[in-house]
Amino acid sequence: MELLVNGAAVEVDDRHAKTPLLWVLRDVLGLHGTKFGCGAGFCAACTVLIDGRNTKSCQTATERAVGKTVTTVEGASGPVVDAVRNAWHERNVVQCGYCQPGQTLAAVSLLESDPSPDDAKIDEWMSGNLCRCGTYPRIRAAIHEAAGTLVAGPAPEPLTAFQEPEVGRLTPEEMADPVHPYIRIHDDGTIVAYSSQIEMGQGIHTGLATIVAEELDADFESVRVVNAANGTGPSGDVYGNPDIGGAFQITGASNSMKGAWGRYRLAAAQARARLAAAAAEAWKVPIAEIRIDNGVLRHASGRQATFAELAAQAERLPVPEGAQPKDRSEYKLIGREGRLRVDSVPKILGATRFTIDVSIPGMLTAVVLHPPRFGATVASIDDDAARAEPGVTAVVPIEEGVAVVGETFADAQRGLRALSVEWDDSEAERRSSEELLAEHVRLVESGEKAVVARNDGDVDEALADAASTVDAIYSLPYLAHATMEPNNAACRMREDGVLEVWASTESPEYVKMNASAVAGIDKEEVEVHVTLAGGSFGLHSSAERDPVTEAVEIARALDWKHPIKVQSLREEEFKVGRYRAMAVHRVRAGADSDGRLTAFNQEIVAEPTSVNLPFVRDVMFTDGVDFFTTTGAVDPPYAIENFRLASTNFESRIPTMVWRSVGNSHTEFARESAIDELAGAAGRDPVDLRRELLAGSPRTLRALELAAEYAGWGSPLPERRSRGITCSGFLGHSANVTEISLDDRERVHVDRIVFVLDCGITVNPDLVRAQVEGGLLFGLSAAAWGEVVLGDGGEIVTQNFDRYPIVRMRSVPAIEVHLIDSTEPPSGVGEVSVPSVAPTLANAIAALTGTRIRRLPFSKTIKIY
Amino acid sequence: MPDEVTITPSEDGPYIVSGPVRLVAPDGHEIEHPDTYAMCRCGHSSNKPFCDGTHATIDFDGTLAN
Repeated sequence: MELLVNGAAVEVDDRHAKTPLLWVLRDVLGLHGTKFGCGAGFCAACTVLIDGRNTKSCQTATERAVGKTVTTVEGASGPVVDAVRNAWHERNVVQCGYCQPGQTLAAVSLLESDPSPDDAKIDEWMSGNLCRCGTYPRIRAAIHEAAGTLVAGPAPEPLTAFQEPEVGRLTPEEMADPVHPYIRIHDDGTIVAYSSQIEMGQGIHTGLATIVAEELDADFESVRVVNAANGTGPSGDVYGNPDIGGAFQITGASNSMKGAWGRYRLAAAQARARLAAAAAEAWKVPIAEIRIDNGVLRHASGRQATFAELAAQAERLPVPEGAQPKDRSEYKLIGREGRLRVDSVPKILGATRFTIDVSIPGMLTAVVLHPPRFGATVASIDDDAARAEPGVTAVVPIEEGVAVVGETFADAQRGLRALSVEWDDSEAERRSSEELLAEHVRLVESGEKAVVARNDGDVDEALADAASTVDAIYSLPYLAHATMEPNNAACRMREDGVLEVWASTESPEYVKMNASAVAGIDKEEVEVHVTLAGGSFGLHSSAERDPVTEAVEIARALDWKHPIKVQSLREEEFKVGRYRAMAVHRVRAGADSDGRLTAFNQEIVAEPTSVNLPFVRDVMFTDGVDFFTTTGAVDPPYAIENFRLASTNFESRIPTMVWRSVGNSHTEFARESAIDELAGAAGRDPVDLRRELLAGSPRTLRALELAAEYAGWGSPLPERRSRGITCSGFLGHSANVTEISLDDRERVHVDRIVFVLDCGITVNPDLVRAQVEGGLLFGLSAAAWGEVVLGDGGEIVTQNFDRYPIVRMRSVPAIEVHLIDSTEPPSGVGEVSVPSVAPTLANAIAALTGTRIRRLPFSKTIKIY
Repeated sequence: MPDEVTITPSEDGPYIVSGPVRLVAPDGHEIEHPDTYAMCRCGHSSNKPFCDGTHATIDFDGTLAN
């Protein structure tokens, strides 16, 4: 077949006639900018232009593209393309970036057909393209901006991607240096910051670039940031997470900026002092007379030098005594608007290398078939048909299932479809999600295995004395991360015995432990390349039985002859679990005759999560209580005299994992719903009731007051509209007011969300707003429709986006984010808004309909759109 | 594969189609599909003729007339 791709005629073997165009583009033509998301036409990450029209390449047999023009992200050009990409860049649209080649091509196709689309047209056109990070509001704004740019005059210059800096292993000398592991100034003037925290869309690389440029007095544009790893030396891991004591490298708990704030400002200040010392030495002037601005050192004598000119000399000097970060009164970048994400240009251009894009000479690609029930094992395999498929090189039974190895992904996938496996269910989880829920409820009612985590005052007496009470059970389902990039990994055993692993892991240390255990080698013989993640939300915190394990198992089974890349199918990703745990809460609360909250008793049943995270579990699972289950419940922002919190550790075969906002994703639903229910029972206004409980939490109180003010709390609304409110002390201090309306079929439309946040100093306010927006939409998908269903006999029913709906552009409400000025150190924002969505919506629905929904997702009870 | 064609409109959701049926595009090419599959009923799928789950997130009323 002859295809016309990006303006060039290319010959493709006829055996690919029925292969989806996506895989011919990626694996035959090496065009990796087009992404795989679902393989079923649900997500449009695979969007290309065919004869100018946005088309899903995963649903297009290659033979059907013959005689047409195919344009991928790599080949798209022209004024509309440049206007779209420029608007994407300037509006900080991108987060993880995985879906953005597809999004931008869809937008190009829209603007080619309609130069000035209105919101409704944009929503309709773009609703095929899923974005798990929730960048929709910015996409809509960027399309309007691009349309305006094209009307106003010449299109902007094309964006160009910089070369991604190589990350080498640190030498012992470099590791011992206070600056080198974190910041290097190259002789071309590029400043590379080595990020101990993985970039998975949350914007930490841009945050680091900002504080490094600030403290160095460098040109922000000259800073590049890369994921670092392999920092273990005699004195520990130089990339150990500073917020948890520096013991090992892990990204999570939204603590990246909180931890990096100290480390990277100090390293940059030290680098700056060393540059000044080098200039002073070269010019024979006192160091105090050196001035630095925008990457240039100057002296009153007229002498000047760039960082690049002095970098090599500076690196030989010790760090001058007393080098310290600036006082914030001197900040030029931190806290200011205007920073554009450092990672967005390569992501927009499809040049960023995600794990799926890893390509190593001689590499084979594997896909793994996992059992249809958790805990089932292989009974027998008939792989004759699979092995007969062209391009299939091996079928390998592994711990997690059966791997089919092929020359390309499409080969392996054809082999997987031809594979026949009988499963042994004797050890499998056979309960359906309904049966599992019933068992959670039974346990929360009996309390037979409950462990008390906190007990203040006398809850039982206070409840007995209460004038009004609430006794309610709240339940939440299993949830998947459903990142746009399915979980992938690659490995290669080098001739020197070092096992290289490519993974967008949140913890390179876990990868080293995991891979070395499977390979039977020393942990330090594993070298980790941390690829940028196409979303994570906690998924890549796994420490075992994940694609890293699978890749190493397969490579070992094939005698280390080939580098192996494991690519997860969307269905297989759902079948390996690592879900947010199902959770059931019972809250009994009471108020006195003045309507004051006097007693709050919360009981939780959920499968523990922290137990799956090495080291973390040692401090987070203590005395039978999993803090990753109780967080948000055991530490509410409210001062309550009589308070008890108990938890029960549920047992099942279903693997759980941290999921964006961890325990707060369920505990706050119960807490904030119950507070509102009690307000109703006691005849109190929900804001008034919360206000008096927040006397000891002035920052949370301020967020609550401001949210009420901005959203017009208490002001009359038209018929069939209502508001709900919640507040939280999770990570920072926040409050959410959500406005909804009821249509004539009694369905709920989410109209507006006002979110107020005090997260301390905001390094980049626009990126903080982006995280809040994305978190709200992540929370909305979960609250409204999110649920992984296990059917009769425990069969995993939910396997793709058709049964696990993610909010699409046409259902995105108006979102207003207000940041409170603060001089406190930065706190996390990546997860901060997620927990608020469900309870605020529940409170609004109760206010509007009188129906209190205590079971998520809401779609079980009422339609939300 | 079941030997008889069945089309079931699911509640506020897609048509579930099973059985031996050919799916043919206006240009005459046959669209491949699994034995049982979901066809868009709300009109808003971006994956027509198949369902992509969008019906669940929008204002679609699938109440049958009879």
